[in-house]
Amino acid sequence: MELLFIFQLLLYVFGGFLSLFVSAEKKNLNSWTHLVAALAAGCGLASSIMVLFRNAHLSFCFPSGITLFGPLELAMDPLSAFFVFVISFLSLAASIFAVGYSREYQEKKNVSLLGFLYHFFILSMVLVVTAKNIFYFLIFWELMSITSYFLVVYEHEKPAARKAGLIYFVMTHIGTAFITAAFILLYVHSGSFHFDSFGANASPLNFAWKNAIFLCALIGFGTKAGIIPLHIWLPEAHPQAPSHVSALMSGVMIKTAIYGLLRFLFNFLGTPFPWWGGLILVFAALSTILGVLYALMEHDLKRLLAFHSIENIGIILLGIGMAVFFNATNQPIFASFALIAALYHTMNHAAFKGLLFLGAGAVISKAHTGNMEELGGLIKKMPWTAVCFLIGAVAISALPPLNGFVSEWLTFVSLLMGFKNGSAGIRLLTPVLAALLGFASALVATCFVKVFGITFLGTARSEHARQSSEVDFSMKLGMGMLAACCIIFALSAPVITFLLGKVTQALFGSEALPLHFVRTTFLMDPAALSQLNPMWVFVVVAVTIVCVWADTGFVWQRKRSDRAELGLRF
Amino acid sequence: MQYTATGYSKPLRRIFSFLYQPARRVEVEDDGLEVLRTAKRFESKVHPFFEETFYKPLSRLILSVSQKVKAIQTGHIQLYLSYIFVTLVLLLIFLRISR
Amino acid sequence: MNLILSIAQIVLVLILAPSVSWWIKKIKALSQNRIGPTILQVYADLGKLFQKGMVISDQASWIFRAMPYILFSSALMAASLVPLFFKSSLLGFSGDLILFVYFLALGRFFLTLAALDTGTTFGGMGSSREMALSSLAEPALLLSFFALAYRAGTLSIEGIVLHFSLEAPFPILFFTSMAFGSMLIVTFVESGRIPVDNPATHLELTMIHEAMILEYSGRCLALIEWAHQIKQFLFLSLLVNIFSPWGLADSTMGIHLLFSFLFFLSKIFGLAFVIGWVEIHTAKLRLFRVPDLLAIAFVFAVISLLGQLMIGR
Repeated sequence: MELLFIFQLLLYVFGGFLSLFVSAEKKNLNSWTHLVAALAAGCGLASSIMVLFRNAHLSFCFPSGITLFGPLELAMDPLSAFFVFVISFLSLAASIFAVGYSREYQEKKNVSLLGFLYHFFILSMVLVVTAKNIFYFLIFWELMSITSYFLVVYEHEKPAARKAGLIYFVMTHIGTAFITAAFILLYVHSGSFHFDSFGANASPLNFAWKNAIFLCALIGFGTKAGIIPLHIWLPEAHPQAPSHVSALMSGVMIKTAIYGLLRFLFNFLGTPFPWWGGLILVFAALSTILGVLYALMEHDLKRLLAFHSIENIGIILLGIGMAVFFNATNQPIFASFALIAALYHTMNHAAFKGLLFLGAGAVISKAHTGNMEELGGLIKKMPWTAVCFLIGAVAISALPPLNGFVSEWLTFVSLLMGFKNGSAGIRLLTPVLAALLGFASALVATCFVKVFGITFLGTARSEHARQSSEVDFSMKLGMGMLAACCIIFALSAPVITFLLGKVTQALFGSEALPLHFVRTTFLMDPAALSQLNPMWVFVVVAVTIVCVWADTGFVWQRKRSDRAELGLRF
Repeated sequence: MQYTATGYSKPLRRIFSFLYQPARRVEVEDDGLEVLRTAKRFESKVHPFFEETFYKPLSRLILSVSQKVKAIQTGHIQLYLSYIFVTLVLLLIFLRISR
Repeated sequence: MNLILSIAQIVLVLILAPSVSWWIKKIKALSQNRIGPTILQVYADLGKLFQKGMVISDQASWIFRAMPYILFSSALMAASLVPLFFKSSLLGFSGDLILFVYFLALGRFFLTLAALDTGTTFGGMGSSREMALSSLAEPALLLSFFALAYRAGTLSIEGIVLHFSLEAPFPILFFTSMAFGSMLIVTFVESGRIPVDNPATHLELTMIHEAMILEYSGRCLALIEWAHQIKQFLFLSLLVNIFSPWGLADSTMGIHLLFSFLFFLSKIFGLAFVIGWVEIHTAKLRLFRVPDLLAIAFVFAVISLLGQLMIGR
């Protein structure tokens, strides 16, 4: 396990320098260096799965020359392992996709620089979620911001890219300033830079300090996550980056902010106050509704997907807000369930948003435009891309039987668990929030019917769309892997819920926690409101559709001779 | 004639017009004869609430403050040396008072 | 035995759904001094459509051909969650209100998608209107469901029906009448009836549901029509079984089942009469007035929830 983790880090560094030194002139050679990132992601995947299954804690300590802040320590406890898992599976798919996609940039730009920045971007994200020391966390955070800035302005000849880079740069540093402030307040209180010295191991914080740290952390990590009103950089920056990088930025970079927020809320600050949960819920509802409403008005594929990322961060925060609220009122089992819903949605969002961004990248690389008003009829020209994009669209609209439905069901139930306890205010607020969540998800379905319908169906609206063709094998493989992930995450929901239960057990410290939520293959909520069996749902959907198709096909079939005579298409 | 993406979202744009505050502009060119139009231009946009309400005024404020502060950068080295001198005197006075 | 009865319920949904459409047509015809169709006419229409051939545009893709099957399947799967005259439903052990709403959403997703497939104007128009209105109907529906779930303490449909059938009549009606009003308005939206959409219109510019299926013919059209009727029937049976659940059989004795089934039929046709009555006496609303109606539904649901919270269970 330890070897795999270290090997992963070394591979990313190796891949980055390899990309830089392999000449960009050699035709197509530089694209293959992305496979090094794929290999590294595979190692990361293996090591994080092993940590999750065995419920282990890894730890590495590298002595560094700077003794002022302590040694460089990387550790994987279950929460970090989960985030490494999310980063790794998406990086694996995106790296395979990048082999074909970076060929598009072969003539025009410096592909070796793209590979270098790409490898170090992923490396920095892995290091952020495993760092255990304030100083190194901030260094890796900054590394992540800088590499992603350069990737956003990769096509710097476009003024839109430069402007987006500037907005992104300013906003992310405002966020980093608030995060640094929160960390410095923690250091001043506890006297050490190490993560383990905060939280339960330290003396309790007093009232004003706790609230101040919470607000700084919320604003700081919220800027990176894209919570409304701190979201303005997201719709500018994500469309400008190359598509596989956009997939990573939208799928995992904003989730590292969620990781940071979770560390603060459940590890560093001890018992939260109930009003924190209310505040997070308010921002979450705002992000969910406004994110999708603004997404509906967009016509650029990638800008629209960026707004949907804002909306999904809102949904994740709904789960987190309920978890904070339940934790504040001392109900660890309920808090655990809400946190499981949030983490599950984090994983699912990485899968389907990554898939959608890769699909958009495939479309843009072939049709040379991302503007929906100039596309159309692509389902005939790019059938595989269309199917993958459709799977992504069905998943993000939270339709059964795919993974989006499972995590949204979990979020609904964790919101409604507020029925059984809590003040009257919470009992009124949470069903209304759940109704707004349903509203948002119906609007998401509207938006994706529009996106898929206008882009892929109908007839082509421009010459470029008429001339497009299917993408090459590596891009198809990358998209196919994520489409398979969407289906697998739905089918293996009991296993995933169990593992996430173990993750939350590490945070809340209760015993035998996962057994409350999973019984054989059923997902159950601790308030006994309802239960769901995602495997049954999948089986029922598949069987019903096949039966209906077969039944009406055989029973009401016209004879072949009649059809040929009439010359009609059936 | 196929449906366009703008047309598809029209009902929602109208229902939520309190949020979007959509603005549209139609420009028509003709050669003087109103019945024969040579070109037509349609522009529709949605009001970006957060940029206009929070961020643009804030950035305008920061830029105007920095314009005013720019006044201390005159380019004369004598002025810069006198800045150093004044700062040194103030620091010595401060140290004396805090003793 | 439970299993057989649950499957029998689904079969009955399939058989009875067109008859509710017939009943409403008959009421409207009688009010206009016409005789109206016989009950066999609705079934004959479906049968005729099944036997006719299909004409499919060259622009259409596999989504056009696949959609009727997905839509019909989603209606069937939603039907497997609703108890009709027997206390349990086929999929009730693994699903609840939220799954019911999302099964219907799955069908609606593909319906509106296939409308855009042929590249016609009316498909796009029907699709955009349908998605706009049903997105607004969804929070009202969900919130009224949640108000009922709050009262019953569970989200599963069987559980809610069971809880209400065990309570005395008056407290239920008092607390849940607002939720009933809200769900009734949503039923009009989802089944495309007169205040929202005219099912008998020939003018494309006034269509919502019909515009989406304008390109369909033959077998596919039969499946779509039938699925629409099933959806309408499901909403009516939810209204009936949740708000007046007495008489629901909980044992498998023949007499109980027969009595329950007849009682259920009378309630369904009674509610369908109310729907028909509203259709006769109101005019179709302008498209942009329907959100106001749905806002009223949402407010009803909020009042229902608030009432329960303030007055207590």
